[in-house]
Amino acid sequence: MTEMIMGMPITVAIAPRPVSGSAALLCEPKASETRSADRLFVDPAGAASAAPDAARSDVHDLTETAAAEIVFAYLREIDQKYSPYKPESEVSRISSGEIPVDDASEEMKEILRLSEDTRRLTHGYFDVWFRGKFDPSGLVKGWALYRAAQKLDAAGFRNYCIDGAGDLEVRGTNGAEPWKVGIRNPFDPTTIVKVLSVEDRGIATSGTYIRGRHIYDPVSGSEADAIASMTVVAPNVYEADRLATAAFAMGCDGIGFIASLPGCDGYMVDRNGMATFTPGFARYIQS
Amino acid sequence: MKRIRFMAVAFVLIAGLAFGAYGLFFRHKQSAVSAASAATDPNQIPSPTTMTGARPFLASNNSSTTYRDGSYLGSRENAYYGYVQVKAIVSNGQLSNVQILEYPTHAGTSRYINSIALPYLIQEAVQVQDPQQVNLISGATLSSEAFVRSLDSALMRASG
Repeated sequence: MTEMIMGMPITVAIAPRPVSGSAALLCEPKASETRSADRLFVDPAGAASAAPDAARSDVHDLTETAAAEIVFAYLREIDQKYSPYKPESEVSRISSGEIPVDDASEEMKEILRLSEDTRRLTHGYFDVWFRGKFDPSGLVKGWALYRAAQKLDAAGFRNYCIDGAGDLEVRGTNGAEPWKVGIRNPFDPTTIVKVLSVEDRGIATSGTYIRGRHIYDPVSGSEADAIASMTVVAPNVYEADRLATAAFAMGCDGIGFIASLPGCDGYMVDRNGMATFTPGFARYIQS
Repeated sequence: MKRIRFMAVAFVLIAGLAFGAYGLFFRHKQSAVSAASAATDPNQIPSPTTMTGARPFLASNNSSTTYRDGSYLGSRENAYYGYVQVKAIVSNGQLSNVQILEYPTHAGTSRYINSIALPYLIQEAVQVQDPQQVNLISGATLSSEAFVRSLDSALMRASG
């Protein structure tokens, strides 16, 4: 099931999920689109089962609809609080100085701590203060998707995936098989360049503006330094997202940065269609 | 004063050493990248321009269209987390450059050189594959659409 939140399509699916339906993921999903065929009943242990006895009131509602609503409701709250483009959001009010940083909410202070940690880890490539404005959206997106996954865990879901416009949190398996994840072709968004088999991981890809063979990267300022995309596979989508953002900004050095982080792997595509990846990334490769 | 002078000299020395070390490491890093699994299959598609199935992202993505020379400001397009505005530069009747005037920024842009560790990395030519075989796709952000709209509007002015 898919809904547009925070300006992007958020998709939640539980296992087993048929592969042939994934073509829809390539297109902008319509908000009203629902997939009744995917509504399945999954018992709390995670194994697929037949439809449960409806009279039992102690069984959690483990349908895809329930999972989707947990995630969507949470992300709508996050958007209200963290959108830099809603003047009443806490982020906007901190940016304008209306709320001093010391008076921010506990959760926002946690975001600020995580932001500072990320800034140091990435040697300043990731910084939520930019040109005098406070904008943690690069960190909040992965963090919120990860928090949403934790809510699904707490509700008893074990085998699911959350797709936040290409930032993925993948848990358990897709029935008897691992979840199959594609890496979008940065030069042609209707195709993919890699198929990965992934379990209990977060995956994020950073990219830039591409038209034909030209890469327009406002960060590097020069087409020669620019890379087409950087994909990071990490223990969760919060890590994957913040690291992919920073690694992308580092250009060709980014893949080396990812290689230096234990538990994280990367796949970088350069402007000539050559990919460079970390040795640990090979374990995810299906094709 | 002496202490300040000492610090200044020390800084210059250290900076010089670091710069020299960076130059060395950068050259080393190029050779440390291994082509252990470089594609040998002639059927693999090495270049993005030969990838099949690509549909034009823009109606104006046609190199036989000619434009009037000059620079053209594109529209300012909403990319949700910010705006994107480009300027198209046309020379000899063709799009020769695109300047990005405004774009959503979530990350800092400082230039920090960090190449002390020399990792072993693997290279390959990307191979275009069928997206039907996967459950999910990891891809870059949607801000490209705003970029395309802004560029399209600039090119319309160039051909109008």
